[in-house]
Amino acid sequence: MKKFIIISLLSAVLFSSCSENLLELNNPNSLVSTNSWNTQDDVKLGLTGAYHVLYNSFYNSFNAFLISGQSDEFFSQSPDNVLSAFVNLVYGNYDQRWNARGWDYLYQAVFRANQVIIHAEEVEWNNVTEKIDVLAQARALRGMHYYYLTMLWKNVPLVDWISAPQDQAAETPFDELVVFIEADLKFAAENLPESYAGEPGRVNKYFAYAFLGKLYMNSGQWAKAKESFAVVVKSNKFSLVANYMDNFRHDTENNTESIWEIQHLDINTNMGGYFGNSNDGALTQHGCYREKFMSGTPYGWGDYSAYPWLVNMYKDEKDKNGSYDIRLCNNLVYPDLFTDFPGEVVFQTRTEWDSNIWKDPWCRKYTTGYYQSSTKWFTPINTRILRYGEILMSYAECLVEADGASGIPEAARYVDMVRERVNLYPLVQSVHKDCLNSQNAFIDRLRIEREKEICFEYDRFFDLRRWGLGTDAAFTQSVKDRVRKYEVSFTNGKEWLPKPESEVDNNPNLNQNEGY
Amino acid sequence: MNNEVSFLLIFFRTTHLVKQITLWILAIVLSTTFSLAQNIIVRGTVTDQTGEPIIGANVSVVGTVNGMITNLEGTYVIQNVPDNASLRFSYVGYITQEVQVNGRTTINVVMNEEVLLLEETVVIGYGSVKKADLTGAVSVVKPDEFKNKSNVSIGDVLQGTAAGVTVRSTGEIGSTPDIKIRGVANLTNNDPLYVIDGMPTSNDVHFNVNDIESIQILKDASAAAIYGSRAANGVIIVTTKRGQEGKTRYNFSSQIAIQNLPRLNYARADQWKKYYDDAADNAIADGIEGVSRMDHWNNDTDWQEEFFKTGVSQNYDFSFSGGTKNGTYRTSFNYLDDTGTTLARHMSRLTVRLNSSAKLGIFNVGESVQLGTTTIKNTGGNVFQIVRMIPTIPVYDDSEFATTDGYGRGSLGNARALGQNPIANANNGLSKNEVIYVRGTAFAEAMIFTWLKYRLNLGMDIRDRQNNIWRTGYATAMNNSDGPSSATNSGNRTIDYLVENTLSFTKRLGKHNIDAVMGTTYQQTISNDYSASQQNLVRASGSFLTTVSAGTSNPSASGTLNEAALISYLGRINYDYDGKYLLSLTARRDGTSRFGKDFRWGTFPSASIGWRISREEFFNVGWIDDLKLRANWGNLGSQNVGYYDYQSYVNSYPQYLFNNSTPTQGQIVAQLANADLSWETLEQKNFGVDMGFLRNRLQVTAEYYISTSHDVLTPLPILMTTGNAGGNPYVNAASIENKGFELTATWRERVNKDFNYSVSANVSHSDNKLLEFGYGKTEQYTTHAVTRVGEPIGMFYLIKTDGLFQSEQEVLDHKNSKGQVIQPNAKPGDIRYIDANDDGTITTGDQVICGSPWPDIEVGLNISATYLNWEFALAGYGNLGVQIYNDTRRYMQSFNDCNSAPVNYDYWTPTNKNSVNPRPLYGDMRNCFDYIDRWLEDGSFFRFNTISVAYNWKQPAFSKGIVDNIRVGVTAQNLLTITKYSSYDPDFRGSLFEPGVDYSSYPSPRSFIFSLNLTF
Repeated sequence: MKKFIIISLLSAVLFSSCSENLLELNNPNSLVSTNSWNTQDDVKLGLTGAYHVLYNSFYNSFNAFLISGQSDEFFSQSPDNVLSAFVNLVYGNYDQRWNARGWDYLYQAVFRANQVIIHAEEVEWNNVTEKIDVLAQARALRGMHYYYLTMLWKNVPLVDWISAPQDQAAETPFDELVVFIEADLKFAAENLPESYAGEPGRVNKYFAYAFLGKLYMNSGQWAKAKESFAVVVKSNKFSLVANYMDNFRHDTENNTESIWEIQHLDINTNMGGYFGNSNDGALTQHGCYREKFMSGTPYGWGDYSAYPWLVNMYKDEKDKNGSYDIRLCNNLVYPDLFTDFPGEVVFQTRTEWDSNIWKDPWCRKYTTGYYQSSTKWFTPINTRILRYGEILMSYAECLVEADGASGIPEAARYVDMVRERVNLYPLVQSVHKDCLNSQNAFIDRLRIEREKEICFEYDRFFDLRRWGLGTDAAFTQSVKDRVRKYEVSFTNGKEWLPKPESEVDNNPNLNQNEGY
Repeated sequence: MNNEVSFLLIFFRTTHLVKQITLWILAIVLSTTFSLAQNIIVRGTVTDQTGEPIIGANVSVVGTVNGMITNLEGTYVIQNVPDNASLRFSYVGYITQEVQVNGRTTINVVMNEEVLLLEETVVIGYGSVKKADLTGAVSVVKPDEFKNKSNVSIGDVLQGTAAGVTVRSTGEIGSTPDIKIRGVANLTNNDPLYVIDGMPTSNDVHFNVNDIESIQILKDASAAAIYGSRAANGVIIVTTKRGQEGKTRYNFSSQIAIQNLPRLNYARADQWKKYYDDAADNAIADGIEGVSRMDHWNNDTDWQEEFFKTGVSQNYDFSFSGGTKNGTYRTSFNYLDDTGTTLARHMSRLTVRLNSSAKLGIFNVGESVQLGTTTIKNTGGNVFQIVRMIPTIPVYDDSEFATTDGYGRGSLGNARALGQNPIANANNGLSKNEVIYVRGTAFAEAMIFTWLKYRLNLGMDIRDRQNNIWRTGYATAMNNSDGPSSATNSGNRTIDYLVENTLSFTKRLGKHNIDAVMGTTYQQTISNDYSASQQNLVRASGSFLTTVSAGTSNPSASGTLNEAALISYLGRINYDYDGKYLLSLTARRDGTSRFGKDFRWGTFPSASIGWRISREEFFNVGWIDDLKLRANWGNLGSQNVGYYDYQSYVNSYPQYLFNNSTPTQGQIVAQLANADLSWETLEQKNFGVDMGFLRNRLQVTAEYYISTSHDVLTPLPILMTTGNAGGNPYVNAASIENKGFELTATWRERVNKDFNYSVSANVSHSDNKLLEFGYGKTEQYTTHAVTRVGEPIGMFYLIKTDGLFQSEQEVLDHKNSKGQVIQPNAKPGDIRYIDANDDGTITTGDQVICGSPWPDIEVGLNISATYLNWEFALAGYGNLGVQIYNDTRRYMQSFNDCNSAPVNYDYWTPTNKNSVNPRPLYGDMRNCFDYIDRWLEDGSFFRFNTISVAYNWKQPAFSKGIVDNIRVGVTAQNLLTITKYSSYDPDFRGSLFEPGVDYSSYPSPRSFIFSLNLTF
C-alpha cells in the first residue's frame, strides 16, 4: 500500500506538472499582422509604409542604372567586370544584382501598396473622403511601380492581392498591364488633390496625369497621351525655373518646375538602414546613392562612363552669347570642359581635366560637387521623377505624333520654352530652323532637344524603344552606329531587360522575354 | 507571465516542498549505520595475466581515502585496513576488481585486460546501458582518442573518430567545426543536439574539452528518440569527469602549440606583371573596350606573408579530484590563450568546473557546473583578401592613391585591384567579443525502492555576451570611399532553464530484465539583445576613442526580448530476456512555443529489437566471440525556426519625408510568414550488427540506415513577385532521404607486457536525395550548383569545357547540330564550351550537372601503440571521391580583372599551345565565367591530423614518491595532407546549397604541440 501511495504521488507530480499556457509566448518586440490593420489609423500608417519604399534601391539608384545605364548614354569600364558586362549589355547572368534586385524592390513596393489598398476596404472610416484619399495615393504609387516594371521587363506578373509565400503569380500580357496601370492612375487622377499643403512628398493629381501620359506615350496611344499631358501643361501650376541647375540641387527642391520629387535628406548615413525591412533598429536611410556609381573617381567609383556623342550633341549650336549650351557643363564632365567653359570648377577644386584618372566623360547631373569637395554614400538631392521641362518635351512629341505636321507650331512653342531657358535661340531663329518644315525632321530634332534637356534622367531606355530600337531597323542601326556596346551586343529583343533568371526558373507561370 | 515566476512555479509544482520533507525524513530513518571493525595491514602483488607486475595500479580501501599505488615490483602495502573491508584494484585498460579482505593480510591480484568493449557502459540519455544490450547505433569517443591533439571545442575532438560523423574544420579562431551526423536531413541547420551532463546545449568554444570523460554519439532514431524534438540531427552526449573514491589526485597538464597556416604559391611581381601585360595585349588585340596596359608600380608585396603569422596556443589545465563512499568531487581550472595564425586575432578562455556529488541514505545529490569567460578579438582581414590583392600594391603607401591612413590600395592606372588591403583592415578597428558563462546542472535522486529511482534534474545555462566593435571607417580598397568612423556595443544574454523529473525502474524477474524510465521536462529560453552605436568618433591626439559614447552623430539603439518554451513527456522501456532478446520502446511528446497553438504538439515514437546470437545454445563458432543483430525504427522531431516565425510582424520603422525635413513614421508588413508551421519529422530505420572475433581482439560494427525527413522547416526562397522582404519565410516543405552504411573495425592486442597496440578504422558512406522541395518547386539554383528533386543537394551545375581552340579553323568547326558556329567571337587559346542545349550559343542555359560535392567514402583511422614507457599515436581522416569548386583558383587564374596569380602559371600562347590554361584576357569573361567546370577539382584527401610520441615516467625516482606519473609528448597536427586539391585546404565548411564550393575558406593550421602532464 505504501508503495502504491508513493508511486501515485510521484506520478501525479510528474504528469500534472506542466501547463500548456507556458507555451503561449507572444512576440514582445513588434505588432504582428493578425493584431494590426484594425483601424483607419493603422491604414494611414500603412500608407507611410508604402511611401517608404521610395528610399529603396530601385528608386534611389537602380532606376538610373537600369533606365539610363542600359541605354546609349553610358558604358562601363568598371574593374568590376560583372557590373561592366551588364552595363555593356552582356547579359551573362540574368540574376545580375541590379536586374534582379530592381525587380525585387519594385515588387516589394507593389506588396506594400496592395496592403494599403486592400486593408482600406476592411476598416471603418470616419469619413469616406479620407478613405478615397488614402486609396488614391496608394493606387498612384502602385501605378508608378507597375509602370516601371512593365516598361523594363514587359510581360510581368500582375499581383493585386496581399501576397502569400506560395504565390506563383502569372505572367500578364503587356496590354493588360497597361490597362491595369491606367485604371490605378485614372483613379488617382480623379481623386487626388492638386497638392498637399506643406507636404510636397505626397503624390498629387498632376503626378497621376503625367504618369498616365508617359504610360500612353510608351504604349503607342498618342492621342490619349496628348490629352493627359495637356492637363499638366495647361494647368498653369508649373513653370520652368530660370536656372536649369536648380532642378538638380538640394537647396532648390520642390520648385515651380517640380511636379513630383522623391524627398531625400542625408541626415542618416548608416548603410544598413535604407531597406527598413526589419525591426533591427537600423534607421531609415533617406538619401540617394546614384552619385557614387556614376561620378568619376575620386568622387565616385567611375563605374559609369558617358559616351562622348553626348558632348558632341550639345555642340551643334551655341547660345545667344556665343557660348556652349550651359546644360553641357551642368550634365557632363569631359576633356574640353575647362576650355569650353572657362573658370568652371568641378567638385570645388578641379580646374582642369585630369587624364590620369579620367579617360572618358562622366555624368555630372545629380552630383554634389556644387556644394562639397568630396562625396558621401548618400546625397540629399531630391530625385525629380516628374518635372515640367520633361513634360513639355513629351507633350511636344505627342502633339506631333498624334496630329502630324499640324502639331508642329504648338510643339515648337514648348521646345522653345525649354531652349530659351538656357539662352538658346528659338528654333525658328536657330541653325536648326529647317526642322520646322517637315514632321520627320521635326521629330528628329525633337529627340535631340529632348535628350539635351533630360539626359541621365529616367527615360532614355524607354525613349529608344519608343523610337524604334529593336523594331525599326534603320533606327536601331543609327543607335549601333553611335555607340559601340549596341553594335557589339545588341540584338532585337534586348530593348526589354531579361527577367531575373531565378524568377523564370522557379515560376512555372512565367516565361523569359523573347530574344534571351 | 514573468519568467522568474513561471520558473519558480514549475519548480514548486514539480517538487513540492512537503513531499521533499517527507522524503528526507524517510531517508534518515532508512539510512544504515556503520559497524566497527578491527584494523590490519594488507600487502600483496598486482600482476597481469602473463604474470608481469603492474606498476602504478591503484589500490584503495573501498569507501575511504586510504590507498596507494603499486611500486616498480607491482607490490603494495596498506595499513589500517578494517578486516571486513574490500580493496579496490584499478588500472587503466584493466577491469577494476573489488576483493573482500576477510581478515587476510596478503592479497595477490591478477588483473584482466579490459578488452571486452561490449561490457562498456554507454550513456543513452536518461540512463545508460551496457554496450552488449544496446539496440541503437551509438558511437563512443574517449579522451585517449583525442588527448594528443589541440582541441578547442567538442567538434575538434570528433574529427575522424566515429563513423557517420562528418566534421568539416575551420582554422578560424573562435569558430567551431561543422558537424553532421549521417548526412543532410534538412535545409537549414544540421547541427546535432549537444547534451552536456544532462543539459541540452549547442556546440561552441565555451567548454573545456579536458573535462570530458566520454562522448556518446546517438546516431539513429531509437537511440536519440528519448530526446524527441531537436534530436533529428543526432545527439552528442558529453559526460564530464567526476571524482573517484580514493585519495585526492592532482593533475596538471600544459600544451604549447606552434601553429602555421599552409601556404599557396603566389606569383611574385615580375611574373605577375607579365601575365597581366599579356592579358591586356590580348584584350587590345581583340578590340575589347577600354583596356590598356597598366603602368605598373615597382613593388613586390607578398600579401600572404604579410598577413599570416606563426600562432602560439597555450593551454594549461589543473584539476584535483577524489572522494569517499559518501561523496566525490572534482575541480578543474583551464586557461587557453591562442594568438591565431593571422594578424590581430586572439582568443583567450578561462574555465572552472566544479563537479561533486554526495550520498545520504537513499539520497544522492550533486552538480556539474562550469564557469568561464572567453574573449575573442578579431580586427578584420581574411584569406579571400589575400587572393584579391596584387603584388604591385605596397602595404604602406605615401602617394596620393593611398588610403586615408596611409595604406596601399592600388590605382586604376597602375595597380587595378579591387580587393581590400588586409593589413589595413587588420589595423582599422577591432571587434572584441567577450562571453561570460555559467552552465551546468544540479540533480537530486532518491532511491525510493531498490528498483525505483526518482530524479530531479535542474539545469541552467547562462551566456552573457558583450561585443564591442569600432572601425575607423577608412576605405581599404581602391573603389571604396571613406565612411564615418563608428563604434557599436551590442550584447546578448541568453538563459536556458531546464526542469526534469524522471522515474526510473529496474527489475529483474528470472531471466526477464526490465529497465524503464518516464518523466517530464520543461525548458525555457530567455534571450535579451541590445545594440547601440554612434558614428564619427572623437579623437585624442590623432587616435580614435573607441566607445559608443565617443561617437558624435547618428546614434542608433535597439533592444529585443525573445522567449521560447518546450514541454515534453517522455518514456522508455528496455526489456531483455537472458541478454539474448532485446527490445526497446521509446516515446516522447513535445509541445513548443515556436509554433501556433494548433500546430505545436508532436509525438515521436521508436522501437528497436536486438538478438544476441552468440548467447544462443546452438551458436558455437569458436572464432566468433560475440554476434548481435539489431534493427530499429523511429521518428524524431525538429523545431528549427526562430522564436516567432509563424507570425508575420509589422515593421514599425518605415519613414517618409513628406515635408522634406522631418520624417513621418509608418508601419507595414514587409516579411511574409506561414502561420501553419509545425514539427519537422525524421523517420529512420537502422540495421546493425556487432561482432567480436578472435578472443574479442577484433571488434566490428556495421550499420545500415535509411532516413527520410518530412515537412522540413526551411526558409525556402520564394518568388520576388510576392514582394517579400527581409528574409524568406520558413515553411514546412522539403523532404530528404539519406541512406548510408558505416563500418568500424578495431583490432587491439597486447603482444606482451611491454608492447600493445590497437588499430581502428572507420568507413562510412552516405547518399542524400531530395524527395520534395515545397511550393511545388522542383529545383533550386545557386551560382555553381543545383538542387533538384530526385537528386542530391548542391550538385555542381556548370558549363562543361572541352579544351582550348588551337586555331581559327577549330573555332569555325565548333558548330551545333544546325551548323551554327557556337563561339564565333572566340580566338585560338580560348576555351571551347559544350553547347549542351544545342542552341548555337553559350549561355547559362548550357549548364549541366557535372560533379558531386558528396564524397564516395569518408574514412577515419586511429593507430596507437605502447612500448615500455613510450606511446605512439597516429590518426587521420579523409574524403575520397569528391569534387570541390575552387573559387580561390578562379580569382587567381581569371585575369579579367586584377587579382593575385599563381607562380609559374602556364597558359596558352601561339608558341605554347600545349597548355591546358586558356590565354589570359583582360576585361572579358569568356574564359573565366564562374559557372564553368574549369574550376572544379578532385577534392579527395587524406590527412594525418595527429602523429604523436609521448614518454611516461611512472613514479619517477627523482620525485621521491610525490609524482605518480609524468608524461611528456610531442604531436604534429595536420602535418601531412595527401590531396590533389590546389587551394589551401580540402577540408572546409561549405554552405547548404553549395556544400562543395570553397570560397577561400580559412584553412586549418599545421601545428607542433608540446605537452606535459603530471599526476600526483
